Amino acid sequence: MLEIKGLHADVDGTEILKGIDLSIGEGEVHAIMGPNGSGKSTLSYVLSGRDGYNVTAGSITYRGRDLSELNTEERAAEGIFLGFQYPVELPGVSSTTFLKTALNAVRRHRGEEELDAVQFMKRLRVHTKALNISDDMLRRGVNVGFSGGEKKRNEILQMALLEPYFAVLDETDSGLDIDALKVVAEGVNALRGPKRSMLVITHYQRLLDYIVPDYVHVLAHGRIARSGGKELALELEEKGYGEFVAGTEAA
Amino acid sequence: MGMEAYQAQFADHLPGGGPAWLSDLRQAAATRFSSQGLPDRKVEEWRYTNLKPVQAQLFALDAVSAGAAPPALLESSYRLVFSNGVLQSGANDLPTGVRLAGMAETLSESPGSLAAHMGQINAGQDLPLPALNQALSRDGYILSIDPGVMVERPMEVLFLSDAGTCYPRNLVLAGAGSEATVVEHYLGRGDGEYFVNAVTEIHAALGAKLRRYKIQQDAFGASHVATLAGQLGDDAHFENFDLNLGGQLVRSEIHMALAGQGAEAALNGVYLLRGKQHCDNAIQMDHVVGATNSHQDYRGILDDKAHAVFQGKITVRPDAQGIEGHQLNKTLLLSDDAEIDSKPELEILADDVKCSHGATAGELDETGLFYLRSRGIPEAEARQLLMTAFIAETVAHIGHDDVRAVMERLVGEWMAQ
Repeated sequence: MLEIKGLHADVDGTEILKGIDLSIGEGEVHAIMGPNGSGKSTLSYVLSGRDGYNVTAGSITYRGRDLSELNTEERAAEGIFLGFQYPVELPGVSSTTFLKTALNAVRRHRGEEELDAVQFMKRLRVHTKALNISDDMLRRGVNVGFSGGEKKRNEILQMALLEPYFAVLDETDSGLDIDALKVVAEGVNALRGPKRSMLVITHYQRLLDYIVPDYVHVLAHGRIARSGGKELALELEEKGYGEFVAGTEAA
Repeated sequence: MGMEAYQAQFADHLPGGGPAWLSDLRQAAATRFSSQGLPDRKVEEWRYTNLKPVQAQLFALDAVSAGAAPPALLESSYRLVFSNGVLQSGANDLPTGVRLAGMAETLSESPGSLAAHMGQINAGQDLPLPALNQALSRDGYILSIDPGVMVERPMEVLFLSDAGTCYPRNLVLAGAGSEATVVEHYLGRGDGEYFVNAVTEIHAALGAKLRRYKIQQDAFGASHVATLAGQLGDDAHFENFDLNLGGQLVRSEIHMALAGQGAEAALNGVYLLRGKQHCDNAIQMDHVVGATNSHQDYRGILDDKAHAVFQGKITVRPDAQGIEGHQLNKTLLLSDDAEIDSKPELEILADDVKCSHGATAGELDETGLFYLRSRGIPEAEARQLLMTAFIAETVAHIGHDDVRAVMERLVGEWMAQ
């Protein structure tokens, strides 16, 4: 699904990612853990092709294609989804308009027919019910006045609608209490499948109790410092990131 | 230009005929304009707008037809069409109690009918451009609604222009308890360097509800100056929306007098400019008496080297207690060379007053753009969504559903260009 080789990337001339190698197979869920400033969010933005995040060396291959050929919207349409750590508020853009525009843009790209208002609402209802998203939320501007939990549920709603092959979930647990976390994790787990891979980025092990990964990697100073199974997360929870932070300069 | 030179020009161009009161009005206006001339940038209200380009166009009054009118904007409207300032076609099947006609035909049918109202609003009288309009205007629309009459269908007045100079003189008399909607549509043909100097006077009597919308799509070579002078009586409600899309040099001036208790005015607008377009919205909101409310919400999007000006003044007269006056101006700058000058002004001489003003200018939100694109929405479409959102609240103020739909369509067309 995704093959990252020797990836270096900088932001405003500062190198953040310093040689990442990572291979994610179809249907696999990988977790990336790491201390603050290790480059976790940078990796997620590089994967989405955000302006200002420059790949200086190495390669990312997604479903057999060189990702550098695609801009942000093309990556999304090709099935890459980024769940934001801080979902963006868009006052004046109604949630329904946003979701319909996005879904139809992706369908257009995939050569599928666009959905009309009725077809779209029918499809939307299935997901909003499962994620407990109210009509009031849909009427409001995107993420405007949403609680932390509502924002994250809205991210999962977008993922459910767009049906990506590969989802990056950046600190999906941040700002959530345990009940909200459970709802979001259930939403994510419902979307797991043999054709869909995920990269779950988190600082804390807590999230991985609910979204159980196949593999865990530790990112420190812009490199994968260790890889292992889900038990690695428990070990980190116990020992902290001390061994990965101590003795080296901050990234 | 000196006073004698102006007077010589007026001598050649002052319209003759008509009732004596009108000749006197024209003569007095010509004298007023001659003594002042065109305002220059030393005048505070004209600091940001240079009228020099229109100096040579003031007396180019050889009106010819600007061709056939395009279809109406609104499906079911009573419609009047002016071509280069001259009435071309009138409105049919008007309901009882409503008159919508050209000024010239109204005066020829009933010479005394407009004497009590035309040119009577103080704010408009002393200013040079309305004076010039009063002196030279030959036509315009007269809308008069009898007390208690509710006009269901909107009225639409098209001013189609392609050359020369025109001075539309419009007058709206909304009788007590009446209700009506009127749309002024200024539309240019080609890219002529013509000049429009329009005046609309509005008298809204006790409890009248009037919506007046203006859509300005003059040619990109044209200069467009418009003055709206309104006088609102007790409990009169007035809603105005100014959509500025066209013209090279545009000034839209509003003088609103909240003269009766319970009067309420909402003056909103959107300006969308590119190239070297210049658009100056200058508003004077005058709370003459207490218990009056006003709202202003103007938003714009500027690209290339466009320049917009917003000058909004709220005056609260002494003893005009129990006032609310709010003003907001927001501009989105799409280019480093675009410029907005925003100048709010409050003059409050009473103490029981709730007034606010705010102005912002900024760029398109890059984070929002990335968020939209990360969901597969192509950049051009994402930008359009954010631009639409930026002005959405202002457009939502438009109380007439069909007019709002027209405005939304025109705004969408601008953004898609």
